[in-house]
Amino acid sequence: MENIQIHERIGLTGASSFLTTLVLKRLAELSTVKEVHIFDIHSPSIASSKFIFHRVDLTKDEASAEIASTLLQNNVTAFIHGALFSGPTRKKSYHHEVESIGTFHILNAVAEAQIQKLVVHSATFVYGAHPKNPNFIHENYELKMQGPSFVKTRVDVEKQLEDFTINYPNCAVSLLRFAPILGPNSTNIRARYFMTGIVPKVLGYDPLVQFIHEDDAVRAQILALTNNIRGVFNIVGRGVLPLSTGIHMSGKIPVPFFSAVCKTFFSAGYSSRIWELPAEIVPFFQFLCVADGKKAEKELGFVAKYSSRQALKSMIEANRLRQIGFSVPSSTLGEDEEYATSQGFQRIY
Amino acid sequence: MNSNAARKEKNNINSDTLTNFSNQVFNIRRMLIEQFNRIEKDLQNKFSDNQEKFATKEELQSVIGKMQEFRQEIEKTFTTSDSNPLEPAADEFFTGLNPFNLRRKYHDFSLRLRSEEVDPFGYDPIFDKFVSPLLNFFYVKYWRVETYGISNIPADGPALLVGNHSGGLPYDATMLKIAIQREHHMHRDLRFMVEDFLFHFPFLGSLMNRFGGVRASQDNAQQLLENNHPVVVFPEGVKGLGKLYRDKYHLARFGRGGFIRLCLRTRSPLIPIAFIGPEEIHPMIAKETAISKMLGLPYTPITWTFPWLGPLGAIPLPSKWSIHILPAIDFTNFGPGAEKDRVLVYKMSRMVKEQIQDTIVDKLKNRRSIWFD
Repeated sequence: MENIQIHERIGLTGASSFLTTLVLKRLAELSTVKEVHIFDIHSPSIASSKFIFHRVDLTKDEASAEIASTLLQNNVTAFIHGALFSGPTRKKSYHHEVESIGTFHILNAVAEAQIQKLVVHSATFVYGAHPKNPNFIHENYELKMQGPSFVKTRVDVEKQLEDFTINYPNCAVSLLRFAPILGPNSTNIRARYFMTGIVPKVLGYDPLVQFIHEDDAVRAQILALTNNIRGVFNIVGRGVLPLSTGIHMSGKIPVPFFSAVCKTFFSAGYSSRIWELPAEIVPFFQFLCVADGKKAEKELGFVAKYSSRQALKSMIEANRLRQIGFSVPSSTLGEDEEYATSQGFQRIY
Repeated sequence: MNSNAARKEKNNINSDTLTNFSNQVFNIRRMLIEQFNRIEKDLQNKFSDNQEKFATKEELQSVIGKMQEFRQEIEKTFTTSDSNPLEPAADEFFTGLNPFNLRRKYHDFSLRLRSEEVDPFGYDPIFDKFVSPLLNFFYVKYWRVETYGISNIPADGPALLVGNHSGGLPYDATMLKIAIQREHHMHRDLRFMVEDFLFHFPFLGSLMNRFGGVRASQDNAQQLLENNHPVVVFPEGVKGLGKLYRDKYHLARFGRGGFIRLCLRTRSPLIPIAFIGPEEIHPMIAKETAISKMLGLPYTPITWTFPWLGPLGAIPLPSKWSIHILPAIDFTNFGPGAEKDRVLVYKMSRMVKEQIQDTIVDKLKNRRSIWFD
């Protein structure tokens, strides 16, 4: 219990991202939180009397000083860095600027303001999809600067953080590597993959995939914020499922492509804006990228409520409802304990 | 109407299966007791008739005949009780098929061929059942595998099986899996380690994965052993798979003793295994490396048949196999940190290699033909 720490004033970046929006919603409900200082170029889509918005462009040189002065003025003790993308984007150089340079500025500001707690949203795709990956990747698996550009950028971000943790031991950094987040509201690249009418896949490859439900992701995030535990954690859902099982569950028609022409095909569709799947994502549909969540369970006390299968199922169901004009209530599905436990709340192993 | 009636019937069958099952168990139990009583009475009669001399040959034969009848009866009851789960699925696919439910039927059918939840390592029991007829054909009819010493594999807990590797694709691991499934008294599911390069290819990697294969790595093997699975590893690795025909049955280098360290860390028994036969299924006369390197493969095998006959040449040859499972080596008596002792690890790994090599030589001495029994 001595690990629990209450932060009244919290700084936050990336307010318009999917996960951070949900986190903000939860922070607005928490009674212990007094103020949330939001640093972003767009104001958040949800409103609360606790939120204080500061317009800061993370790609500009003045960002460090601006954020640091605000943090110092308001006695902010904890910081959530969520201005990181959930997957590849169309603007590659901007992507790099926001992630890499943005993290640089945030770390400068955090160091200057002597923040006690820093939480960073990362993703399990930093391990890369490669045939040499073990079935369950541990947190101390060596990150390689290879593969698609969005992975390289994120590895660069993580290297900066590693350096920061060594040089500033007073700041408890917890780096959360989320599996692809699915849920009723998710619109990231993995969700869009299952939403298209015809699902492209690579002929003969059927990797195991792993998802996490959005509510679990938010829960893990709040846990990391309130606990004074530092380190890197894989935040993943229970169990794995083959990608093709997921496609059959979504009820879409899988169209297999030869792996040799797959990249060309994906990039052609991407550049002509037929779909939002760039060629970079193809290895993730071929090879394993599954992380082990035991460390988070042991040290952070985070146990996923949903399995990967349930996360995917809730996403598919919500999408069907959305297509016929029902707005899906944000995250109420996850609050329902019975719903989470009804479909066999069993540990896989 | 017709299809509705059929569905109703099927539902009834499903609801009745539980009661049927318990009835069947009772029936089998009753039958077993009756038959045993009969055989006992028969034998007693025989012995009381002629107490002085032993039973004659004919009498013994009649007893054996009765035992065989009995066995057949048991087998019959067991085969009727578990019908093939795929047949009704195929039936259901075609009943009431129309353009409107085509897509739904397709998805339902594909989901039926796979389990609800695969194992964390990707093993799918339903898929296993789906391919087992073919593999059983290979085991019984094609390679006529004989397995010796199956009782050396423990009934529960982890076990690391170490074998000699050969044959281009992991046929040997597959056959060992089938052997344990068929002949071991606990019918355990063996997991095997598959070389990295198979996962580069379409189909092979994911097929192996659903069937119980896991990518070869220390991490994976340790996790499997900690979850109490029997695991087979081939320390020769790709060097063993890509053995030339002239080097057959000469073990290649045995890694760096990783399998010994694994045993010392997890305290699981090590069981050496000698495979006789898989070396001849793909007699590789040369390796092609120049073009393969461009494609990212370690080598392309050239056998008597392979590139010349096209895909037909990739069919393995029907050699006669035998699998010799040697007594387990116990690792429970070593202290903590023993895996860091280089000398110990090296000596143990040499010992295991020599044991396998000696067994192979010993069995080859008595082998008269590669192809015939």
